[in-house]
Amino acid sequence: MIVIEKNLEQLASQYKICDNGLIDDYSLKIQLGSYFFEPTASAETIIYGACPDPSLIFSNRKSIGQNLSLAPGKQVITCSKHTYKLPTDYFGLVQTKGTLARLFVSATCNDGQIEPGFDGYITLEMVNHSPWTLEIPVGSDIAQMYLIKCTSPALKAYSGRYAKGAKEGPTIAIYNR
Amino acid sequence: MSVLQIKNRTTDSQEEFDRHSLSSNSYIYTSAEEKNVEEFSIELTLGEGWNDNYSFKNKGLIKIEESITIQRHGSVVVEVKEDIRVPHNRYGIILPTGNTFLSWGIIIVSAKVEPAFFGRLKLRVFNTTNQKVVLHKGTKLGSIIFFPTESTKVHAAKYRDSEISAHLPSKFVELKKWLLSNKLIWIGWMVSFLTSSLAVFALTYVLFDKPAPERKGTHIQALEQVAPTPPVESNGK
Repeated sequence: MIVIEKNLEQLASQYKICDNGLIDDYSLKIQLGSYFFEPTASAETIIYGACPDPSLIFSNRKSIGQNLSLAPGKQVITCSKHTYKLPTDYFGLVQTKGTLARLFVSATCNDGQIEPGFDGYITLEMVNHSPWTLEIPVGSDIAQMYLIKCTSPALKAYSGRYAKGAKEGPTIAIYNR
Repeated sequence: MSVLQIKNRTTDSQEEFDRHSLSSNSYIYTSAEEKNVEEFSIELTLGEGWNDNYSFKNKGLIKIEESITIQRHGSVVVEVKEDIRVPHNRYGIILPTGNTFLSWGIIIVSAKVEPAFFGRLKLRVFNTTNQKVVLHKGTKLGSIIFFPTESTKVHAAKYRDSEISAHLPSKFVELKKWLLSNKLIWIGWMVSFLTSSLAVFALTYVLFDKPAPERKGTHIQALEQVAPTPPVESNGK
């Protein structure tokens, strides 16, 4: 069951899920935040599951000035401008905003999932698939989150490997060793 | 469709209830004690008012002092103790409590509670046994469960509550009420009285009364004894 309209508006207000200005008819808006990581050119081959040192494959956290500049084929890990706090009986699905998708930019690489009880900034893996360089101003609507009612409340709120980092901004890959 | 989880989804704050009454996780407002809020239901208990002659013309309730008595195979209308407010996207159903029925033979009729209802519910309580049953205030009568509605519509609030009279009815009112509610009995009494009176009269008449001609003959004989008839003179024919 996807929560919409008045149900969504009052649910978001009831649980203080996000800023009231982000509540849309069918979803919660996600706006572009101010920080990003980008992949470093030095890493040539990565074996998935081999636990590479993140500092070797990602840049340090950078600040976006006014616009995020995405050259053709470029990728960044960025995050939402606002924090979101989900109730334990709702699951969030992140989708790219249609207008951005029509420029061949995806806000997530994997149709982001926000687990029940998540609290923090939503990390977005942006990729420019287009032949153009795109300038995206900070605060632009780039994605949206749909809330889905779970069959029962989760026994505990999300406390996965990204839970702590999500409170401070975008999170890069953390590998279990 | 699933029964709504109630525990931790109730509030006793009017303001909080109103603010989220359209939310997909809207609260149920209730004044029920914590012990009466179960995981999936709210227990309804005997409140302050009752009426043993409830009808379209008589919807007032009388204050319950300590307890009420329901006559054998009788029924009364009572008001529950708990205030309930239903949000716009919930639908309630009242159900009898198995234990109350099994132990005392007391049962209530299932009823619906629509979205946006607020107030205290009135229930008709039946005594299914052949003995009088005394119910004390706070006795559990039934439970209310809720379902989420498929859509959320803003409904006009439906208030249900009763004026509860603290004054007990006068003897005259009680007599009148008894006469109205026991028509068959007193009509039976009247018919019995009249028929028995008629029977006594008839019996007396049959046994002790004589036909009129016989009475007339007796009267003449008596007169004749008092004054004998003078002899009639013959003319010699």
